[in-house]
Amino acid sequence: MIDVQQLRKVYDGRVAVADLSFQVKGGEILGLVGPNGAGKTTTLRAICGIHPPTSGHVSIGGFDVERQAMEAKRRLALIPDEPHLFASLTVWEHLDFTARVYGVRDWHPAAERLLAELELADRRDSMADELSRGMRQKVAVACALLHDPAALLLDEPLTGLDPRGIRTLYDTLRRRAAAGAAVVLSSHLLGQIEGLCTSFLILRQGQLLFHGSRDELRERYAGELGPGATLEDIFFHVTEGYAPAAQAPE
Amino acid sequence: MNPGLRYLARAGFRGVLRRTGRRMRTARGFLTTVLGLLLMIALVGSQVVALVLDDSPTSPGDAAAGFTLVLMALTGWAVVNSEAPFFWPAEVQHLFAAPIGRRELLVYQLASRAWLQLLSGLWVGTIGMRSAPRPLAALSTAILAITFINVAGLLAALVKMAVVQRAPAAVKAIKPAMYGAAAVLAVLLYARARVVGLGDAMGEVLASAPLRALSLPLQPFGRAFAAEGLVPLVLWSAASAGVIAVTFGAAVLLPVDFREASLSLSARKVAQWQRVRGRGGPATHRRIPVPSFGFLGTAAPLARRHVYELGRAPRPLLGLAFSAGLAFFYSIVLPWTSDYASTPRPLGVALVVMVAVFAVLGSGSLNLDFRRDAERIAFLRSLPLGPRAVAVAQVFTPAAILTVASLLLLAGTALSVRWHVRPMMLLLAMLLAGPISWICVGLENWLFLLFPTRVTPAGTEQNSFSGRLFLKTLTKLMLLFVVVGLALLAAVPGRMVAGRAGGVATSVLVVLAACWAATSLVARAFRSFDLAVDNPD
Repeated sequence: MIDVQQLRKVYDGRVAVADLSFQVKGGEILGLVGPNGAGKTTTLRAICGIHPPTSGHVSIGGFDVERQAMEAKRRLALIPDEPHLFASLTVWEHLDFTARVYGVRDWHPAAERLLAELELADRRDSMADELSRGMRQKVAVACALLHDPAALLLDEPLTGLDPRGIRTLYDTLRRRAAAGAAVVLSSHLLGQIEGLCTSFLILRQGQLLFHGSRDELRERYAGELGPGATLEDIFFHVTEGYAPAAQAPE
Repeated sequence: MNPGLRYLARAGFRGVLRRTGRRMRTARGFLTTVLGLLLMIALVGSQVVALVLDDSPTSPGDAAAGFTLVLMALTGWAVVNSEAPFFWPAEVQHLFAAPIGRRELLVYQLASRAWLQLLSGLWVGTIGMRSAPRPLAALSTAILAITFINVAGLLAALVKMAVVQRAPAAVKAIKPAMYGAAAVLAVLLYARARVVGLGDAMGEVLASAPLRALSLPLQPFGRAFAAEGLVPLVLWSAASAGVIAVTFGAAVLLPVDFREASLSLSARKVAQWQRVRGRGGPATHRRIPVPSFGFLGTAAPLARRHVYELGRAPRPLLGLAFSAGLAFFYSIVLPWTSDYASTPRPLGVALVVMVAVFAVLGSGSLNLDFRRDAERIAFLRSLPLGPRAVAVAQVFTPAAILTVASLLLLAGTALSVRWHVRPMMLLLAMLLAGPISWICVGLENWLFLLFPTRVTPAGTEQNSFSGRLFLKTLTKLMLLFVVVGLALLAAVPGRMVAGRAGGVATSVLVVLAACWAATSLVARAFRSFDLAVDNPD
């Protein structure tokens, strides 16, 4: 579903992402982890076409993000780390706007369902500047899910969400993945996403340190860290020890 | 255009009206909105009255030349400083990853800002009405000109982005070269104006070959502004609209992907505004000797904190210096230049006026108060201090700094005219510097707490409204005028009862009462500040 080939992004002579290649299949939830400045946000923005790659290719559902931008973008949704909403629009108007942008027909039932699922039903007529940060994050999630994207990209989506909100988001992501969506989730809350993600991609300074399934990750480092090592243990071992790139076998 | 974008432009405008309606549902919001409207009516009314009474209309030639030169300067500024099309973070988030084309984004950007340009145009047109042969021409041309400045800035940004990849050094050299050219032009214009007068000098500058070529696309705007009849106004306005359409068309057709640059610009601008609001510039770790301010009691620690902040990040003092320059120019230099033929009289009332103008302007630029603490209101509320103590703490430091700056300004002015001043008026100005500063800072904070504005990533409309600053300044001036009027009125019975000293004493009492009232207003506004509405996080 998401195919990244030799993605390279250079800003002012600094390599933010170095020749990164990976795929995310439908039904997969990929955890994109790495310390600050690893290139996670740049990778997510390049996948959704905001940052044109310096070299390499990204495609969504077989459509190249650069050359067939409209087709590719219709199939994806990005939920950024900071939920920026339009201050003068209500929650419902955000959904109305999203439906129009993506050309979603008969969107009312889906919107009602999303509002109920994300516990926003009683805030549908509230304006964005009346909402708390967590609420705004939920509205951003609702907007992202309204057009039923095949590829879902989430950049630190847990910030500001209460425990109930986090659990609801997890359930939603699992349901979307089960329905065939490819999900990429970046987060620093390693303990939180460990049980959710089916695969992991570890970056450091734009370099790929590991990419493989959860089982492959454990297996790869079991010898060095023991069988009970958590994602956090592995993360520190990999990123601070700066081990050479280890691509799990396909 | 994408139907979602059309909806967004419409809903955004509707949202602004809804927010205004929501604000007017509270007594405070209703009163302040009505006050704002009344001030606007007063401004427009004063312009209309002046227009009716004005018996020396501007000649069409001077009007066209002047307008074209001003437009050229503003367009040059926009062109030199343009970086990338600006989108608010909410727009970046919702539009850049959506299936919306580059051209659609540009059209949306122009359309969604149209109402703002309309308002700004009406505002500028109202102020410039007296300079045009027909008031209608001033209004309509101001709207067209502001739209053109924006569109020209957009085109310049895209051209620069297209060139920057091939010749980055050339783009970096543009800004200093343009500033240098503008400075040379200003000096030449000034030198020539001293010989033949400003109108003729501007005409000559515009008639020179390079300027004629540069000003060619701007000529229709100048002609529309100076149109004496309805037919030429319509024709030249249509030509101006054509220039805008061609410029915008060129921007839309340029094959430049601006999204990455726009995203970067958007994040940088919002961070800049928040920094200006929150800290006032880069800070250092230097040790600052700050007095204890023990006489302020429990309010002292809060007041001292502002001195530390200013000492470590002194950039607001630059704004203060600029305000001092403006006050000196308007109160001292301008009256002298209009009366240059006669022998200069000793400075008297002008010194008091200068202190008042400086306090009004300076209190707006020196934000060591509630404006800097906009995101910390909840913290201030949590302190074991009463509203009045917090109000005193917040007003004290900026008022004290303004007072010291006023005294320095007075001394500098007196020195510059070799003490050719009326001693009693100088003494009065020095005595009034403190109370006037206190009143202005108090009013500034009172207005802020009534109409708080925060820099939010969503882009608050109230920040965008260019008239806000003007209305705020006008309100402060009017209230200050009322205080002065009351002080003068109070002097009459005081003088009747106890002679000259009695008159002065009652006036001083009234001014001190105004300081007390200003502090009370701030304290009251702080107590009733609704965190849930005004600061929802």
